[in-house]
Amino acid sequence: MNNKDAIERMHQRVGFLSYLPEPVNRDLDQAVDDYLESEKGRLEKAIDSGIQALPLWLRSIARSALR
Amino acid sequence: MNDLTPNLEIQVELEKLAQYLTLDDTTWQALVDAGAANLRELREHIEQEMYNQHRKGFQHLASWTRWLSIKQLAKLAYAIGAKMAARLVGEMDPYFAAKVARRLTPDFLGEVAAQADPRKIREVIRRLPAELISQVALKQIQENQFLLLGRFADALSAPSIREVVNTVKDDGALLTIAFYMENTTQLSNVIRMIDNSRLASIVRSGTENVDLWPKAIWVIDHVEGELKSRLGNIMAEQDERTLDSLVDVAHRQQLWGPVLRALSVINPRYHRKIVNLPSLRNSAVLTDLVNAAVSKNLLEETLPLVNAMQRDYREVVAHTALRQGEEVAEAVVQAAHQSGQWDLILDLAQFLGDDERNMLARLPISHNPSVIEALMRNAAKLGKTDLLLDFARRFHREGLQTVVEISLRDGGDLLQAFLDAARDTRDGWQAIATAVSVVDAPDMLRDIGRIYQRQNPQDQQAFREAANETGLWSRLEQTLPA
Repeated sequence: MNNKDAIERMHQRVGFLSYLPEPVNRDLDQAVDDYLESEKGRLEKAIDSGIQALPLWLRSIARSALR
Repeated sequence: MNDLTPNLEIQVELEKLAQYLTLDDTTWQALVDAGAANLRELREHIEQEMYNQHRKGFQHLASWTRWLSIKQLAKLAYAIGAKMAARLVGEMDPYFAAKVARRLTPDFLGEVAAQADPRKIREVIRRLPAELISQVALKQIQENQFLLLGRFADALSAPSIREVVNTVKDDGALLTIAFYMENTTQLSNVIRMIDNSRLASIVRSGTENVDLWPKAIWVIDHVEGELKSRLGNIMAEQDERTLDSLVDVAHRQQLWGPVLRALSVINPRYHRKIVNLPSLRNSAVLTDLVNAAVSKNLLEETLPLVNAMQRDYREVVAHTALRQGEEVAEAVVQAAHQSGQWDLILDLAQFLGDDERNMLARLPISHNPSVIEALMRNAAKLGKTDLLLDFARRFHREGLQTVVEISLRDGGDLLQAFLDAARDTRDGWQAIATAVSVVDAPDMLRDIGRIYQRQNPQDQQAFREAANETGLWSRLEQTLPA
């Protein structure tokens, strides 16, 4: 997922963001970006170790689906 | 996080955002002004982006899980860990997923629930046994996961709600879970399932602890009609010392909107007890209360509460309301007019001084003929014509013309009532003569003359003297039969 696109979508959906002053908006964008990025990292780490626990036949399916 | 705002709905949304975002103080403060709905939308957007990560992959993987037995899947859930299991379970058939979940420990299920998209696992939660749900809830309470519990309470089935309420002995914890629920219809459903004695105990936990009290009043404010009055009555049954401390918290945290809404639906027999609490004698408290009633559009609901106040409290309310300026005074008169509570306005008006009465008479609403008529008719009905005459003296010319025109309707019944009152009112004759002196129309002068002739000689003389001073008599005399 591209976080820049996520933030762009967020600005389109959440109208009040465009009224926030620039430094506030920047801080908020950065925080959302950081959170989504770190969450993605945590999920991918969980996927990496989770795949190892799957039965062999399901492991390759999971790998192609999730990577 | 620390409370950034007394507005509970905004504070809750900020707490929910704080689970995800690390922001500097300026940004948090800017978000306070964004409003609860905008903050909710922002959070939902973040959650949507978060739960969409690898969603298609998990959907694909979930379609393969049907080749595994329930037992194998339960074993697999532990092996892949709570985070991956949470995402996978959200994409599985809820019936199938619930069968797997039944085989997991409450601790692990709690971890999975914390990582799952609540919208995706709602149907799974609904299918879980009540005992398992309550064990998970106990574990989450131990870990203070109230935000999470509130969200999942939105999805609980009726048997699960009963089981959780029976298992969780901590009333404050149940109140906090209710506070964090998002679906207010479900909140009402949950409250309906709790028996009266437990409900009383839960509300009391809020009233006995000033930190929980805002949560209790929030819950009361968000449940449906008859429940609001049921919970409000429980609150009102508390002793005066407790209620006094609650007023103090309501004042400090600006909770007057929810409090007034709750008070407007409680049994009126509690009104007197509540509105005469010592804490309400404080002018700053009453100022906030009056302003909240105006700004939250709750004046019509608040006026009956003022009616139940002792005389000295009503006097403070009258001065306090007027001190807030013309806009507030106008709103109060408008609310009384719309809800037919003129008795209260006339009662409060008796406490007002000259400047305050002049201000009331100058209000734009005091020019409104329907308001003038209602004021006159109610003053006559309640025997407060002396008060009306005092106000009439302060009216502008147009207002006076309306007063006279209305008083001449129905054969001059109202004018007669004012003449009757003039005898016992200081400067009463002058007040009537001043009001009537604005009349130029010959037919109206004739009507006034006819009514004048019906009076006894002493009253005729008193009126004549007053009318002479205002210059009315020379015009009126011409309309009288020789």
